[in-house]
Amino acid sequence: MRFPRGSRVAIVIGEPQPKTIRVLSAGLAAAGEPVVSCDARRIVFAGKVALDSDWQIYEARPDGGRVHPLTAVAGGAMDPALLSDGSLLFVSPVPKLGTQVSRTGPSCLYVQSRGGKPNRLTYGTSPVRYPTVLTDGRILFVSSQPTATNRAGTGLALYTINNDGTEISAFAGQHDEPRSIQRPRQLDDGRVVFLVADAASLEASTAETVLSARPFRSRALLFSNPSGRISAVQPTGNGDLLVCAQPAAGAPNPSMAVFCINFANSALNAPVFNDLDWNSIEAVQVSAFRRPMGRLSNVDLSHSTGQILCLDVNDSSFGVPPLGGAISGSGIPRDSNGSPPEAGTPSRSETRATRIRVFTQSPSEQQCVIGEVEVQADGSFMAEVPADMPLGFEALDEHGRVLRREPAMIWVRPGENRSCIGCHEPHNHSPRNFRPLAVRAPVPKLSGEPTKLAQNGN
Amino acid sequence: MKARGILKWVALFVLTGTLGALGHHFGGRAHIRRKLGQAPLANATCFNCHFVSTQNLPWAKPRPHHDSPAGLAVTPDGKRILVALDDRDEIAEVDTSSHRVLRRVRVPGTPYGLAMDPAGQSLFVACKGDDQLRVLDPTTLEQIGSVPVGMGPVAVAFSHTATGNRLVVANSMSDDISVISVSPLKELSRVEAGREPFAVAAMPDGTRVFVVNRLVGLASVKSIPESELSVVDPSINRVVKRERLVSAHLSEGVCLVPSRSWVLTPLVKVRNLVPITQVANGWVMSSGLALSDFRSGEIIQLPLDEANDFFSDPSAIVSDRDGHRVFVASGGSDVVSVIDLDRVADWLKQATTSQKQDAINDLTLSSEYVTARIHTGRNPRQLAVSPDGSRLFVAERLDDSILVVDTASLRTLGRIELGNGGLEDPIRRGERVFTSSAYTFQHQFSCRSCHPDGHVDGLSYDFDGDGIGDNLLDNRSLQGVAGTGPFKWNGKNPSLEVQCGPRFARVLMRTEPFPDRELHDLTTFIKSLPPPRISRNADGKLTQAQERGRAIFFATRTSGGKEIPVSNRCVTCHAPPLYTVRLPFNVGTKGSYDTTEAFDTPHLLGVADTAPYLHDGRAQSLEEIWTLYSTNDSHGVTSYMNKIQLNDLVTFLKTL
Repeated sequence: MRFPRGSRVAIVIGEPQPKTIRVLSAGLAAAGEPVVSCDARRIVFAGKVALDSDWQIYEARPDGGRVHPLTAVAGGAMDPALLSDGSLLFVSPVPKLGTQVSRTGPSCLYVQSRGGKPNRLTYGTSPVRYPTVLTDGRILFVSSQPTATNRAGTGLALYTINNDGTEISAFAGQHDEPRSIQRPRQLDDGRVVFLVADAASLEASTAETVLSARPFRSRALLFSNPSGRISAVQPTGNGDLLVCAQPAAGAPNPSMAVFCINFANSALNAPVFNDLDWNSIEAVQVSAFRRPMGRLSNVDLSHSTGQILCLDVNDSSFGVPPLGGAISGSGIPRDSNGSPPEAGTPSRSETRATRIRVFTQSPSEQQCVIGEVEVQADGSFMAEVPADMPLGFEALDEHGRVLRREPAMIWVRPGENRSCIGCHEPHNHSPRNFRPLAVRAPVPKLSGEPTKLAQNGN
Repeated sequence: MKARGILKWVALFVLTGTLGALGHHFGGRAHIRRKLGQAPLANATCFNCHFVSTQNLPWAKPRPHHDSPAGLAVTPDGKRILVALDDRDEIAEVDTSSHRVLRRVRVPGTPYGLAMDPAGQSLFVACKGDDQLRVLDPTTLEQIGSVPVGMGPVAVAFSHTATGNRLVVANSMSDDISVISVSPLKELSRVEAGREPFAVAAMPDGTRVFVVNRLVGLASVKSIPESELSVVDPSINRVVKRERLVSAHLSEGVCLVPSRSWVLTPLVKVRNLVPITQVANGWVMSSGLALSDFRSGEIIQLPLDEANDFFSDPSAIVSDRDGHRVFVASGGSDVVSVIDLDRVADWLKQATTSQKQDAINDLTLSSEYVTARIHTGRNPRQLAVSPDGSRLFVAERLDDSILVVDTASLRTLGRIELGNGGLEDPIRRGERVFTSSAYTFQHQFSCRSCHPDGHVDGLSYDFDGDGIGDNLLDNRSLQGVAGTGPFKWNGKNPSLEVQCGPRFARVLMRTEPFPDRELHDLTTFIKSLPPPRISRNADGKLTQAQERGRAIFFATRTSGGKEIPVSNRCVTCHAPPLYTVRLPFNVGTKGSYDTTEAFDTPHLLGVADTAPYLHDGRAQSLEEIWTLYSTNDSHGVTSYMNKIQLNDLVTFLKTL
């Protein structure tokens, strides 16, 4: 666990040499993950009152005052972040030490307005971690694509949702080498930095970035010559970075220290805070910064469904069927290794999908069919689907064979209208301008009881 | 005595009020029902048809004027830059070394577009307000000639041809192009352009002039829209080619590239046929650049945006001296993008046909060739490069200034102050809100992106607020909209403040609503927009055909003598002076996916310039309203008219 017994959140006042260190998490057995509000008047962090109690989110004022809990969630709450209106984001339940998934199911993202109750935002089948709020108002978080080869939650990547849980989208890293990534943050120059951990130890060691201009094709090291382990990178809001890292070998104090670096100078110079009594895991500057964009919710809780519009299921840059071999009409598609087809295999465009099967997946990984809809002659389809549950899609040919498959990783919120360009559409693409046939036909409603999806045609 | 007098007045007031209320409730509503003939009447009052005046509307009142820079022209020696100040009817002369304004001279007629001949002997000014092309002596800034051109000239280019020097003028409001001989100063021809020709660029050898058109051509509302790149041969005064920019519009700039056979045009890539279920990933529109190779005939559209950030309302474009880079001003994002043309050429060399066709939709592609983004003041709309290529001038229209940039380092060298920005004026502040994309998700578009100059983009869109379906809605002009509420085609928004409020933020901006002050400024600006200027006879009188059409518009009987029911007369719903009674009516146009059969009655001021028509834009012309879509007297009694009478009616409508 990143925050062992005795870990504390403290505020350091005074430069260049610290004059005052005040512990904000006094009274808690462990604490970490401090987040500062954009007006710099609030600091929220995760903490636990006793070693055997759950993590919860607490709030403190930079200028002092009593620390008070913001959450009292069964299963615990961690990874706090703040939306532009001050609402609290957190992840719950918190998996026990050394595990990826809690017994009660994968970690989900919740939002809690001030004085309000938590509302769930994510409905995927994979655990969610490390939310942060982008300047455009979206929530960026770490999760993984549920596949047969990736059930353990490795191969973590970055995803976004709006502040109401709508428009779950891949942001970066989905097609990279599977490694554990942690603690993404948007830098002042628009890049997103995140920590990369060794899959075995899950202990972050390096920092990498992607350009928001082309997040899928720009992964690079933050520091060209990393000298030691890095545990946190945090933008200051004025173009600098606060980096918590191990000083170079031979330094008098081997514990983690806080460095302040400029974008132009990406080397770690002298630390700004390096106290023998403190092992600095994370550092956040307590200063006001530009408020992220807000957003009015498109969720309509009077609905229990949402709508899906796909412009052309045959527009696919990644997904393809296994070549050769008949697939049972009702079976989960398998390739020669028994795994579902994945992105990256060559396209087989001559085979066109005629139907779409929509399925969901329970926490126990049981997959159930919600229904099937006809694909229009131009490849488009629409469907009204149940809200707030994981949804997967299979494109079927006229013989019922599965041509392409999207695992149950997206969802729609109540009243949400969700669109996609194609089946495994290329990332960061705009649609072409045309009027899909599907919008002219009545929308099929797939809101019946899910039925169990047979395996391999049985 | 005094108390008794007061009591008498109070009693009279109460009695009058009571009688008035009862009269309105019984007699008034019966009167309204009799006059209008059909439901809904819930919101109808006396003021829908009576006591309406345009005199007190905001657009009819004087407004402050500002030093907004429009066209720029740098003298051949690079020492001076001339700036059109269209809102002041002035040309400013600026010293490019000191950045000081040397003088300002009055040039009537809303001077907008500027050009100089290569020797710097003449300054040509397109005056969009009085439809004149003026020629000034660039030294004295005195007028030495003028010639009438088409309506609304906004851009001019000089071309040295084998048959003599020519000027090619884009007439934005009459949708045509004037070809003018320089000596003598005379219009040789006026040729048909696309819709709203807006920018002109001439090849140095005088063989071709390229004119971009801002709006898409009129076509079926469900067909893929196209705007036009008109290619003119100035030596024979004709359009020799009409290139199609597919799903692209709002082009306000064009440039040629030295040493390459490229014509470059910024554009808005619009996706109006796709339901607006999201705006992320440019789902509604994105910004791009059309690269037209006039040797190969190939046209490729390239993106200017990024995967998670957009640079809206690209307008002006200018090439550097050597043709290695172009600069594109994004008026909505207050940015000038620097594009490396060598990198563009490299990408084109290795790209497949399919990749070229899909290039505009790949939001990551711009990082291949956009090498810098220069931040500017508010609303950069025009660009110029000094003759030696060392300096870039950026007209910051809503800051009343010109930014000077060193093209080598891309650093700011200074700013030419033309005015104070006018922030004391709520209309100016509102225009800043109107033109800024800072309020939309990832800066994807501004109000202006759909309402250039507050007008129409000629497109219909499918909003998902009423579900995803085949219910397109025509985009209506904001010009002359003050006093014509309620708004929206279903007439549900009582005011512009509501129209531009939270629902707009939820459905279109996908952010949070405008802050109160910005919303107030925005609606103040919109209300200040006058109706479109319409072509009328010089003496203001109607032609005979227009007079006949006027009689039809106000007719109470058909030409056969049969009485037209009051509720089905043109003037009943389109009553002057706004030519609307501001109530929704069923005119038989409900589509299978429309959720209502009654639609708001649009005002008709400037209706000639607001095509397409009807709530979903299905009618490409006024004629089509009655010849194709309301043939059963559901939209006024028109079945008795012959072709000439219908033409007369339409001719009259186009004078409103």
